[in-house]
Parts: sequence; C-alpha cells; structure tokens
Amino acid sequence: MKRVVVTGLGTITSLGYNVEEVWSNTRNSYCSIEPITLFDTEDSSVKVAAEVKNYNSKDFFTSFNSKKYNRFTQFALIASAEAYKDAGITDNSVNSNRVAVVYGSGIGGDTIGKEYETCMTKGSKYVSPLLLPGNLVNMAAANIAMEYKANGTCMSLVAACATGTDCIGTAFRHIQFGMADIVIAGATEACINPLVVAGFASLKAVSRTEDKTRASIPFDKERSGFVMGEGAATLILEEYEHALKRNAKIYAEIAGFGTTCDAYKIVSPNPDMTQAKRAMEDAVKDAGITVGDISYINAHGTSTGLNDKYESIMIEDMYYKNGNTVPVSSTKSMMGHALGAAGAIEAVLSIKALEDSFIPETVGYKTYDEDCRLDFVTGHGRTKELHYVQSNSFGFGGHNSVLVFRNSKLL
Amino acid sequence: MEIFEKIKKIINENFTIEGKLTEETNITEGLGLDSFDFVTLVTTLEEEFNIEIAEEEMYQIKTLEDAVQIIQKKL
Repeated sequence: MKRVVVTGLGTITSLGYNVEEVWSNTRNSYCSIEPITLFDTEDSSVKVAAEVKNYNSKDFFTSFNSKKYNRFTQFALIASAEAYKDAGITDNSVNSNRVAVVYGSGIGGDTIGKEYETCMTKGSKYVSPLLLPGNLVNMAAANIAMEYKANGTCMSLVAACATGTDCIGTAFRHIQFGMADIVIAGATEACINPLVVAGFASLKAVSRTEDKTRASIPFDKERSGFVMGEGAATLILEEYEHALKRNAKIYAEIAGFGTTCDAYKIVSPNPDMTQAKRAMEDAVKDAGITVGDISYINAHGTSTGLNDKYESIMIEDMYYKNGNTVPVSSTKSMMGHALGAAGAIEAVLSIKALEDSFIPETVGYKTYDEDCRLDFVTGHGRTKELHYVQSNSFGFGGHNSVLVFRNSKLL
Repeated sequence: MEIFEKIKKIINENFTIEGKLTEETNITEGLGLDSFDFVTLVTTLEEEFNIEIAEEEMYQIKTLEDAVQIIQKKL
C-alpha cells in the first residue's frame, strides 16, 4: 500500500480567510463567536454563531459566478485555491486522470428554502434554474474538479459532522490503493440561515446563550449545546513518492483512519461507546502505533451535554487508564461547529499543531464537570513536541470517524 | 448607462470574448454558453436591472438585441 502525505493546506472559517490567519488566531486563543448578522434573529432563540466575517462573494468571484456558486461551494473553491497553490502543482507535474476530488458537505446548498417560498408565492415558473445546480451537495466537488481539470474520482461524501474526516480518510484510502496520485480532499458548510438554525434549535442541540464567551464551552459543566459555524478546508493529499519526485513541501503524513457506525440512534451517541472507541482503536492500529504514541487529541468536543461527556469517558478509558494522559482540546471553543466542514478544518489545525509543536487551548473553559476529567489544555495553548495527532469526529446518525496524523519529521 | 452597454460590460466582466459584441451576437452560440450558463447570465441580468424574467420570456432571448428589448420593456 502506498504512503500518503499532505502537500497543501487551505481554509476559510470564522477565524480567518486563509491558513495563516486562522492558525494565528487559533494560537492566540481568539474566540470568533459573535451575534448573528446573516439574518434577523428577532424570532430566533439562537443569537450567536461563528460566521465568516464580512464575507463578500464579489471579492472572490465574478458576479456571474457569485450566482452560480452557492455559499458552500464558494467556500470550498476559496479553500481549494489556497491549498492547490500551496502545493505548487503545475500541469506538467501531474496526470489529470490521477487527480481526484473527495469533497463533501453536511447540508450542501442553502437557497432551497428561498426557492420554495418563490414557488409557493409567485409560482413555479419563477423558480430559479439555479436551484439544483446551486444546491446539490456534490456541486462543491464538481466545481473543484472543473477548476483543476481533475479527471480522476470525483466523490462527495455526506456523514453529518463526520463528513470532513470521512472525506480525508476516503481520499487517503484512494491513494493507498493506487487509485490516484493526488486528491483534493476536504469539506465545506454554509448553512447559518433561519431554517437550519431553527431546526437545530428545535432539536435542542444548539446553545441559546447570548453571552458569546459562554456559548461554545466544550467540556465545561455549564455547556448547553453547540454554536453554529461555517467555512471550508482543503488538504492536498499526495502519494509519498510522487510528492518527493516533484520536490513538494510535505506537511505531515496521513497515518491512520478508523470509521464505524453506532447504528443506535440519530442524535444521541450510544452510551456504551463501543463503536466510537473502535473507530479510535482502528485509526491508531491503522497507523501502526499504540494509544501510548498519541501526543494530542483534537476532540470532537461540540459543547453538547452528551458528546463531551462520552468523548471524555472514552478517552479516559482508552488512553489515560493505559498510562497516556494525552492533552485533549476542542478548537470548536474558538470557531463553533462547522458541521460537515469541521473534520476538514480540524485536520488542518491538527497538521499545523504538528508543524508548530503547539496545542491550541480549549478556550473559555471555567467550570469542572466530574464526567470530564481530562487535561483540556485550558488557560492558554501549550508548546509541546508532537509526534502523532489524532482528530475525532462524531456525527448525527452515529458516524464515528478518526484520523491520525504523523509528524513529517518521522517520515 | 445605456442598456446595451451595460449588458456588454457584464458579459466582458464574466467571460473572455473574442471579437466584437454587437446587437446581433447570438448569446448561446456567439458566447459559447451552454444552457446552464445561459440561465445564469439571465439571472445576473435580472439582478443588475432589478427586473424579473419569466421562463417563457427567457427562452425568447436569442440575441443581445432580444435581451435589450426585454429589459427595456420591464424597466
């Protein structure tokens, strides 16, 4: 099986418009949660979110393309442009049949509601022809493939909050099995709109706290739900020899991937945690290491009652009780939960952590919860030499997906 | 700005055009647009001129002059 490395990174989130900005703000423990501006929240029980700040599509796209591309596709293209340029890929360094795209989203387009209203009030002949080409979930992947003339696999995975991690893991397998030399992998989400926010509010999954400093507080006893975020992240995954041959910069190696399903309930994790633990075990085993080798875990840590409790207990059982009091932090404390994009964004942050020997803080943590007994890296970020970083993602539907990244110094 | 000039400006901002744009330019063949691009262009024009073009009207637009006429009618 081939080895797979990361040769390009790109992102756009509430913390910034590119990797440098986002990582710098992450290092500085900056919380980007603010009152919602994308719609009038008078009628909403949810008042805060982690929006991409002051985003204007015409800063990045022509007026024509601003209409063609739904917001989630725009974010995907922006992140992918940064990553592709970062990887320094030129036409003559790649075979386009062996450049693939694995790019997903949890929800996809967000103009369906508006078009439905138009259909019902004005009539069906006023429904925009852009409804479907704008909103279909695979439009991010398809537009990325068009942009980079990627003629290999073009796939769009969907697994709610585990989407990003699944896309990277699947891209990893593609290269391992020789199906591609390069994969533009990642995920995107942009659904901070009245309908989706109301949906999550009705599920009692989002925090209704108006205090932006106490809204996304993973592992804190006073946590009351997640805060919606948005954005996209792209990783350029490449077959190791292929990367060496073209002298590409190598950020890290994708060492392992584990993915299971609770097959239990849609929104609640299985309290016996068997399948979630198995996803972590599988990822570690796939990397050819043991739990003792993991230097840092970027947790799923959504700031919900159940996820944070079970995730803490699992990590304590598998790592702490086996002698590894691994530091665990949740970067959702700074950028909310970008749903389908979260796993991809957190992969970028995990790789930056490895590169910089720096563990981001779980920002805003104040009150101890007796169920969450781990080292959550509170108060400030931490400098530490990291060998292996693990990233967890657990999605609605019972999806458990875990990635392990190896420091490029160990290649 | 005159309607035709504004339409030309929008097209030039969004596409690379070879040759000159005239009133007789056929939108799909002349600009090399497929049906999806065509409807996106019409939607862009709707937004720029703050008008609404129903589906059956849209398919009557063949040349740039047709576009000018329809926009003029609605302004």
